[in-house]
Amino acid sequence: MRQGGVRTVSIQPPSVQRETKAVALALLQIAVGSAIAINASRPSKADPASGLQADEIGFGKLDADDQRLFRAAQEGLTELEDARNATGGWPAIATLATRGVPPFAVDPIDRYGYRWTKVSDKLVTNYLGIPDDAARSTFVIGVVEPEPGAAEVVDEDDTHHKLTDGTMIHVGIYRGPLRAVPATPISQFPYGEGWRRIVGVSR
Amino acid sequence: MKLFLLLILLFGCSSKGDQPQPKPEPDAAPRLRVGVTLHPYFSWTSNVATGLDIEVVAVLPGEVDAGNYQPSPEDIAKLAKLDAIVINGIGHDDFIRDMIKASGNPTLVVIEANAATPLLPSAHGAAKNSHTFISFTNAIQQSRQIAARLGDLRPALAAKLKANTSTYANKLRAIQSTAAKQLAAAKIKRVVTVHDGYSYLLQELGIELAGVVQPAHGLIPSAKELADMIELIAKEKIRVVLTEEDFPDKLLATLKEATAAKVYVISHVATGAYTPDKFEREMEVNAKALVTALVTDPS
Repeated sequence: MRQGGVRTVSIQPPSVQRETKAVALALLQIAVGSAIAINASRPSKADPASGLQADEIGFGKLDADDQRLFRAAQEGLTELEDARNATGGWPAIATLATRGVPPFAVDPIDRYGYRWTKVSDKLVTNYLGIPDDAARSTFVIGVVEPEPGAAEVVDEDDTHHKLTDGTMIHVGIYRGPLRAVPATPISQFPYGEGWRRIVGVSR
Repeated sequence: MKLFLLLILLFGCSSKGDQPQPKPEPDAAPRLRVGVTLHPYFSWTSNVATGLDIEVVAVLPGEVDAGNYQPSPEDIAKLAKLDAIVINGIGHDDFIRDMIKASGNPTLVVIEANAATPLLPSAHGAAKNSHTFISFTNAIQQSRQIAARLGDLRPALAAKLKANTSTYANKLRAIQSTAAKQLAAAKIKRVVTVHDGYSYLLQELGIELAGVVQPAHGLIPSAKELADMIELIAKEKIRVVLTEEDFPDKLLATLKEATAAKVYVISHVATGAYTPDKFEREMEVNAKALVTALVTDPS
């Protein structure tokens, strides 16, 4: 429709149905894109039968020496938590060793020369057991506390332990390729570098 | 001097008289009654509950091995009066589930000692090894598990339960550590066992298990199975066989005659009187037997 030099165009709003479709399509694209991105950075499920993720390894898959060390590390972790509950801080290796707490105490049965070191910053604490024998894996007992005031609402399980003051901490016992004590504690244990969280009891 | 003693006496009497005497709290929680199915659980729970208003009740008669147990009405009746029961839950006391149902005690709290224990496989078949209780490491871990669950039932006792568990853990660690120091020099590190109950203990003491004679818990090996084991012992030059107390003498004699291996007894901690110190006593004897078998005798 032309009236002199002026052109008039009627702009109709899209129908509700078409607009809904467009929004839904956009949301779907975002969801798919996010899923792809997340999956690219996280390993897929390795063993549906056991429920373990690819970055986890079951106790039963370890050799006898690593099973023994894992059992000792589990015992050590409970002692660490007891000390944290009692003193408010994570204990020194020497304190634990003096009390005979495994795996920090001298272990006459150990054939690989594991030496334990504590590395921590404000919220993350690692107890690292690095063997002299380069063919054996390093073990890490890892603990992450929440930011003050950032309480996490989750149930207790093998990776979430509740301290007596109500603080929910993340814990894990990891096996990996580390050969030297890092300057700062490890909070992420990259799957691609060979780190695995050891799962004592399969879900 | 007399005046001094008189003053002390007077002060003492006065002080004692002025202090309020503790009265039983009217709303105090009633005594907790905790049942157990196995001897080690009696020892662990008794140690965890030391000095607390907790009664530990053995459900099975002491002289009966859980592997040969037949439930009786008297034992089922014991369950009706319990608040909680500590069970193995992975094959060593399968009878208890039906007993609990039959007891008609709907509030009974079941404490599974193995809920968080990493399990080793049985020597034969696909089942997990239920003998987790013949182990220092597991005893400490499972005592903690028991203490935590009892603390859930009686929060006011939780701190004391935890402290008792630490004391008990230190006692068990001392026995384990003494044995480990001696076993580090062991000339023999590989053994055969008659009974499939020692995998956890052997692993934590750095001893390798080459084979198990019994085809399953409590079963006598067939002639062929025994012959296979004799062949394995000869082939792998095994010099030590660990047996349980009640393995048939005749079969043990055959094993001894056919091989050069020496036989040593390791307690299953499965029969006898229920006492708080039974576990640590028998495990200390076991540890010494291992040192004799693997360190002292071969030298």
